[in-house]
Formats: sequence, C-alpha cells, structure tokens
Amino acid sequence: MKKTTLPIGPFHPLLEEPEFFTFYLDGETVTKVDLRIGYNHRGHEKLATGLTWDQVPFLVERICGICSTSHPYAYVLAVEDLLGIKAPPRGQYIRSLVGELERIHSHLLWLGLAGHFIGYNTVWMWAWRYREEILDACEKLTGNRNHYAMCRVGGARRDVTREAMDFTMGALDSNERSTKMFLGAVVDDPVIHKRLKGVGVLTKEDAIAYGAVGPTSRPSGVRWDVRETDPYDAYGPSLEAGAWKVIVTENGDVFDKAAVRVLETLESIYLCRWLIENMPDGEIDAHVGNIPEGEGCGHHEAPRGEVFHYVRSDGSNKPIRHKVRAPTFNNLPTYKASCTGEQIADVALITASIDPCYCCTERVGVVSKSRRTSLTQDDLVKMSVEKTFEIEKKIGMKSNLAKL
Amino acid sequence: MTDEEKYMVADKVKKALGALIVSFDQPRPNRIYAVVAQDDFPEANRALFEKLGGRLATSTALEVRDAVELIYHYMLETEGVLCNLKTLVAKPGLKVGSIGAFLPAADWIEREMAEMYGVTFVGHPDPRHLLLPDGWPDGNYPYRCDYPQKPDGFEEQLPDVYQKDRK
Repeated sequence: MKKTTLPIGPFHPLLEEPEFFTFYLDGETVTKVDLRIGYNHRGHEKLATGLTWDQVPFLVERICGICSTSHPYAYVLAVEDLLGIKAPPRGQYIRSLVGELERIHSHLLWLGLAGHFIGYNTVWMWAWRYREEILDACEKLTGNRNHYAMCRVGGARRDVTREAMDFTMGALDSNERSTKMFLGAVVDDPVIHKRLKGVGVLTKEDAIAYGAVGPTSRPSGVRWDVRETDPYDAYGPSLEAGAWKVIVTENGDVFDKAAVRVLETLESIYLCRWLIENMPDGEIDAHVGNIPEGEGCGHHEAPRGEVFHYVRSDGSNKPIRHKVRAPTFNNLPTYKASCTGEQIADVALITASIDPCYCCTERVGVVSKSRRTSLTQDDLVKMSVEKTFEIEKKIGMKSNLAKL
Repeated sequence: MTDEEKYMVADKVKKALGALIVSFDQPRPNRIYAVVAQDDFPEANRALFEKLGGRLATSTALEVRDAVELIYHYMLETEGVLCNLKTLVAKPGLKVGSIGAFLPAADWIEREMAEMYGVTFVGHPDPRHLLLPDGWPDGNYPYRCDYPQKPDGFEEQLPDVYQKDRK
C-alpha cells in the first residue's frame, strides 16, 4: 500500500499556539508522528529579564488565555522560594481559590470541545453554558472573567468580599449538579464507551519517560500532582482536612482522560467550597521589599498539568533569568507514543485529549504522489463524527446525533 | 512529609550521586541544589532518573561569564523534594553529553537550549531546531547576552511539505 504523509497545521486565525504535525500513514493507520512547534514564539523569557519583579506577573499572565492565573502563580511561588517567605494565610487562600475556579472552567471548556469532536454538540453547548456561571463568579471575585491579576510576590493583589464569596458558593452548588449530570452522561453512555475506550492509550512507562504531567499522566496510573507532593499555599491544609483527593486511573486511553477531568472538576468544586468556608481573616500581602541575590523554583498544578518557573536574581530590580515551562511542552511529545498505530479518524480526538489548543486541526493537506487534496477542521470533525455514527449503528442504537 | 523527613532526602541524593557531587546545598526542606562536573553530567542525570525515580520537570540554561550553566530540575514525587542538578559547560566548546539520548523528557528542552544558547548536546537523537525555523543562520543564539536584534540574511520559510507544492 502506498505510504501517505498527512501534514496538519501550522496556522489558525482564531486560536493561539499554532503547531505543525506530520502524520505518516499506512492506509488509514498512523505509523509515525512528527511535531514542529515555534510558530508563535514570543520570547517571554527574554522579555521578563527587561521588566521589574513586580511587572513580570502581568507579562506571564498573558502566556495563556485560559489558564491565566497559573503562570503568575508559579512565578510568585518561585520568587517567594528565592526570598524564603510565605504569603499571609488569607493571601494564600485567595490565590488557591482563584486557581481552583480556573481549573473548573478550563475542564468544562475542554469537555465541551471533546463533545463537539465526537459529534455530541449538546454536551458542547451545555458545558459552555455551565462554564459561564464560574466565569461570572470569577468576575465577582476578581473583577475579570479571565486575567484576574490576583497574584503578586508575597500575597494576593486584592481582597475578596463576603458577598462575592456567597455568590461563588451559589455558582458552585449549581455547577456540582451539572458536573454530576455530565459524569452520569459519560459513564452511562454506551456509544461514548465504544468510541473512547482503548483509543490513544498512553502507557504508564511512556508517561514516566516523557515526563507527562497533569491530566495526561494521571489517567495512566502515574500519581503526579504537585498540589499533593509539594504542597503550597492552601493545598497542604485542605489536603490534611480531606477536602479533596487526587484522581488517578489506570487505562491511559481517551475515555480515562475525559473521566479524570470530569472527576477533577468535582474535586475542585469541593475544594473551592472548603476554601471559602475556611477563609481566614487578616492581611493578604507580606509587603516584599528588595529581592536579594539568589535563585528559586516554583510550580503550580495548572488545569493541564504542572507549570514550572525558575528565577535567578543578581540583587537588582529585574530577574537575570526567568525560565517558563508550560505543561503542554511536556505533554505534546506523548503523541509519538499515543497516536502511533491509531486510525486517522481518531487523531483529532487523541490530539484533543491532552487539551492543547485546537488550532492545529484547522488546515489539513493530504499529500501523496498522485493527488493532493485539502481537508479543513470541519472535515476532520466529520470523519470523527461519522465513526461515532457507525458505532451507534453497530450496537443497534437509534441515533440522537444531528444530521451532518 | 514533614520538614525533618525532607531534610533526610539529602542523604538519599548524596548516596545516589556518590563521588560525582562537587557541591551540595539544601536551602529549604523541599529544594536541593547539587553541582556536578561537566563530564559527569549524563551519569548524574541517569542516577537521579533511574535510582531515585525523579521526574524531569524541565531544564534551564543561563549564560554566565565563561560558561553556560545548565540546571535540570528533577521532581522527586514520593519525597516531595525538587532536586536541581547543575553543571557549568565551558565556552567556547560548549559541549556536553545528551540526556535526551536515554530520557525522552529531555528531548525537546535540549533542542531549545541548543538553538537558544549554542550548547551542543553530544548524542542527541534529533538535533533539529525546535522553536526557530530551519533556515535560521548558524551561530545566532537569541538568548545569549551578545545577540543582535535580528540576524543578517534571514528569510522566513514555510514548512517543507508546503514548499514542495508551491512550484
């Protein structure tokens, strides 16, 4: 059979993070994957060395539009590690609360898109509708739906009001009901079982070797969560109080990745509730002065996995080196293990399963010696939806899917 | 884990690295900084990954006066300690054994450090550019202190696959 090369990427006008994949195909089976990144390299690490210690959180907040509090969080933890100080308790609890609300809305965003990819557009609409409640709560608490700017070196930038916390409690109650409904929908649906189980398996050995983090490694049975292993801020006390637990499953396929995210959303809801109920009074900021010479590392468990920041100071008002590592940097190379041997119709699903940005699947050209055609994202999604149809037919279920 | 238990992890790390350690520091219970010689670097990394089960979070390169400093950050997840392994790679040779040769987690980050700082990782399985385009002129390392704003004679290129179809 003729070998085919299928390039995907690199540019998409709507979303950030362009990537370029080349899938080497044998018939419909992927035999090899090659990834190229760097089409949107913005040089944040170099830019940070030209800004003062207090300006950097605003810069790193703009690295990602969805997990926007994760980068400043990891950065302030790194600088606090350099200084050897801890934020006052109320400051710590506020930062952790914003971090967890972000996890809820990020996982709901992913759940919606995953539903869209397999043809369940109802899941898509509903997940994003329930996400709005959390975004409203974020706006009440911080003043913004996203880009909260709540982290500063030594504490939180601004206090939260009792009224906003009560509003958040209401949003969490409503979200708990809807997340449980989603959980039932995922676990009970025979089509989702058939469609997602055993697809794109990432083995435990591969997850360890590639250093995969967050909801990419935990479905493969790797218990890595820096909130638990290296607890910071309010995560230590809440874990001791049993407010939440780390979700780990064993199979490593797309189904488990979806299940881990939905279960984690529930745990985050419990944790947010605990944080609001136990919110201490007092100062929110340690009022840090000059940053001395030294180095520090900080990491925060973002929705997609561990965000890692390293800073080095020479005693001036700027860092001389600031290293940023986003979770997708470690998670993307796992495609080499999880896509090989899979069908091309599943590729959109597997690439979505680690929750990168979706721009990669927009512009697709099929290149072989004899012909050249172009596929759009719609075509790729259509292939994925058609496969779901076939499974429904096979198990003799009347299709609820919208006609294409 | 309590702070006392975390301070005990120092003995484990010292035992795993053995005579390779040049200097060792644990400024806080959950942070260890160990320095090894340039030639012993791959061996020390192997010890941290295989003997202690460290997860390679990422690595950092930074330029100092006559060398590039490499820091590999290993998270010891069961102990809850972040162990940073450092070495100095001397200029102008800037050659060090590749960790990506046996640990896939180091593959991409070594490609990034190679193109941004000009460090050669001997034995790397895939020494292409990662973030910079393939047509990037040799000898231009953007994160170096002496780097000019834009290299001479550089034109943007599309990925190979599209170039072939453009005739």
